[in-house]
Amino acid sequence: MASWDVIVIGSGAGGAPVAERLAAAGMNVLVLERGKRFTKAQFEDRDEIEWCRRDRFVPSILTDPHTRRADEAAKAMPTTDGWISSILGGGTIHMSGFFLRARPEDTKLGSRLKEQGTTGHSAVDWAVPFDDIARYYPTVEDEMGVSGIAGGKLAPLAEHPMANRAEATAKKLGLPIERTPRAILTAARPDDDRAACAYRLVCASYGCPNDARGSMLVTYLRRGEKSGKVTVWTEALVTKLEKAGPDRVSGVRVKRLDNGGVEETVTAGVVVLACGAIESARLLLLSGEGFNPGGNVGKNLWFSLYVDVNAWFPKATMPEVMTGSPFIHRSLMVGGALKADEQKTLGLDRAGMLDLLWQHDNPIHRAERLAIEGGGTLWGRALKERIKQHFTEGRSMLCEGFGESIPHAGAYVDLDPATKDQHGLPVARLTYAHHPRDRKVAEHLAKTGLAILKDMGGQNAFVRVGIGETLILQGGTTRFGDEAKDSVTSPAGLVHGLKNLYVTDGGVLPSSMTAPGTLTIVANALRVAAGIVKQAGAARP
Amino acid sequence: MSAFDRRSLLLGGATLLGGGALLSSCPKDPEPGAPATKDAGGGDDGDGDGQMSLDDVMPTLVAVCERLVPSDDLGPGVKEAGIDTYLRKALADPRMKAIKSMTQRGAVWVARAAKKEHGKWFVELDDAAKDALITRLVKGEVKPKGFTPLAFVRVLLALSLEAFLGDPRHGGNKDQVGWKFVGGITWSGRQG
Repeated sequence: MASWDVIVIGSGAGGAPVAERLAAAGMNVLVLERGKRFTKAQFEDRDEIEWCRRDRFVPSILTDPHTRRADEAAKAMPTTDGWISSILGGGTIHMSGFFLRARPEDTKLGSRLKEQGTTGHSAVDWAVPFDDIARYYPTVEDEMGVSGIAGGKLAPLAEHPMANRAEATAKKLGLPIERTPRAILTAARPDDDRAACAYRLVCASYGCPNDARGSMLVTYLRRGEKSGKVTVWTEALVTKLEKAGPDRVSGVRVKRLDNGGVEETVTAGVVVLACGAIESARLLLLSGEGFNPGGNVGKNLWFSLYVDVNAWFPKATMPEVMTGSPFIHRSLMVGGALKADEQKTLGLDRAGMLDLLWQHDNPIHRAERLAIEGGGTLWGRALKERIKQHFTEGRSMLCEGFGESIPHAGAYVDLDPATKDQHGLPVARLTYAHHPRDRKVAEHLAKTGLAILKDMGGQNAFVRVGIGETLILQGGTTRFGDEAKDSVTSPAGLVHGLKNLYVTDGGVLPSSMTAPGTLTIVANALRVAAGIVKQAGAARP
Repeated sequence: MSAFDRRSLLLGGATLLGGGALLSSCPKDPEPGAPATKDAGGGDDGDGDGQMSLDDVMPTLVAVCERLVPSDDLGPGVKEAGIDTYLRKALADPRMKAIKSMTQRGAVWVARAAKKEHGKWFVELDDAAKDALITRLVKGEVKPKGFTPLAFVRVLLALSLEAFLGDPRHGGNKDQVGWKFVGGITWSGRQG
C-alpha cells in the first residue's frame, strides 16, 4: 500500500497550485487525475470533430453522465452539464483565460442582499476576508503569466482593430472599459519551456501548442513534477475517501483506469479535494458518514450567470473585421458597478460584466449555429447560401455577460438515486433554477450588450441567450464558513470536523462573483496551501 | 457534448449533436411519449422486418444528407465531400452508437414513407419530392413512432456539416472541398 505526505485529487485550478506549493515545502505529493495526460504535440491538432464534438474533454454522457432537473418535481435527465474537464490540468487546458480579479463587494453578497431586502436566497458573506485571498492575486498573475494587466510585467496581447471601436462606444455610452487580462504569455519564458502566443486561428476549446496559455499543466504541475516531489497518476479515479478515525482521513480508494480498473487504497497524511464543485461534492457524498458536516455538502450551488448577445459586422462597411488579431480583448463594466439611476430603476446594487469576442471560428460549429439560429432549421441551398455569406462577407461578434447568480434552496447537487456511472457509482444530480434576482441582472446585461454592439456598427443584433449559466464556472457546494450549520469547510479549507481533509476548488467560494472566478480559485488554493505548510511546520518537533 | 445554449465548456462545441441527440434513441430511454421499440429498425408500425443493417439504410441516409447540403449552383455539397465514407466511419465509432441507432430507425421510416406515398424508394425520388418529405419531417407534420422527426433531420444535418467542414482525416471534406467553399482556410492546425 503506497503512502504519501499529501494526496491531491484533481489537477485543475484548485488542485495543481496546492500540489506545487506543498512539494516546494518538502512534502511528497501524489496528484490523482481521472483524465489523461495530453502533450504539446497533441495540442497542435485543431481537429474540431475530435476535440470539440466527441467527448475528448468531458466523459461520455452514455457512460458517465450527470443528471439535471429544474426542480424537485421534474425528472432528472442525463446531461454532460457540470463536467468541467477530465484531462490533466482540468479546465485550464482549454480555457479562454479571462483572469479578472474579484472585488471586495463580491464577497459581501449576504449583507448586500439583506440591505436590498432580497429574500429567498441562501447567500452569505465570505468567512475569509477578501484581502486574505486578494493578496495572492499578484503571485498567481506572475506565476501563470497573465498579460494585459494595467502596469503589469507582460505586454498586452495584440488586439483586433475593433477594440478601438469598442473604446469609442464605451465612451459614448458612459461605460467603463478595460483590457481583459488573459492568462496567455506575450513573451516567452524559456525557464518554464513556454513560448509566446502565436495567435492561432482558434484558441479557446483547444489545448495550446505553444504552452502560452497558463494552464496548470505548464505552470504549477510542470514546476511540481520538475521538483521531483510531485507524482501524477492519470486515469486514476478516486471512488471513496477513507477515514482513519472520527476526525481524520487515512487516504483514498482509487481505481486505476489505465490498469484494467484495478482498485487500491492509497494513504496520506493530508488529502486535498479539488475535483470541481460538483464532483468534489459527489465524492464527499459517496464517501459516507462523517463527510457531510451539517448536511450541507452539495447545497448552495452556483454557476456564473451567462448572457450572450450577437451581432453581424459586414466587411462591406468594415473591411477590418476580416483581419488582425483573433482577440478583441475588451471588457466592460468590470466589477459590476451600476450607475445610481440604474440601481434605482433596476432595484440592484450591482450586475456583472460584459466582454467582447468574435464568434468561435470552429467551422462546423459556426455552420450549425446558422442552421438553427432563430429557432428554425435551415437546410439545403438556403443553408449553403447563408454559410457562404457568413464565412466570407463578415463576422459575428459576441458580447458575453458574466453576472452574479444567487444561491438558494432550489440550487444544489446530490447523488442521483436512479442513475449510476459505468463504475456503478451514483452520478451527481444537479437541481438548478435561477433566483428571481438573476433575471434582472441578465436583462440588464443583455440590454447593455445590445446597445454596445449596435453602437459599434453591428447589424441584426439579437439576444441569443437571455439567461443561462456558465457551467464550468461553478461553486458553493462546499462553501467555507465559520460553522457547520451553514457551510462545509472552515476558512482554512478543512472540512468541518476533520483535521486533514481540505477542499480547494471553486466549491468553497460561497458566491459567484461578477467576473469569471478562475484567478480567485487559484489564489484561494495558494492561500490554503500556505496554511497547510504553516500547520505542518508547527507540528514538526 | 451538451447543447450549448450558454457559454459552456467549449465555446466552439457541438450544438446539434447534443446530449439529447446522443441519448434520444437509446432503447432504454425512449423519447417521452414514444413507445419502446424492440430494435433499431422496427417500431410498432405493424410491418416491422427486424433489424436493418447500416448497409441497408446507408443509401437513404446519404440521399437525405445530399439534400441537406446539396451540390448546386453555389458549389459542391456533401456528395463531393464524401458523405458515404464519412457516415460509415462516423457511425462505426462506438461513441456514436445511439446516433447510429436513431439514424437507422429514421432512415427506415423515410424509405418506407416514400414507398407508401410514391411507390418508389426515397433514393429514387426526384429532388422536389425528396425535399417535400424532408420538409414534412422538419415541420413535424408526420408522426413516426420511436424517433422525433426534427431530431432525426438535425442529427443528419450535423453529420452532413461534419462531413463538409470537418478535418479530412475523418473521411469527409475530400480535397478540402468544404473549407474551399467557405473561403479556402485550412482549419486543421496539423496541416497549417
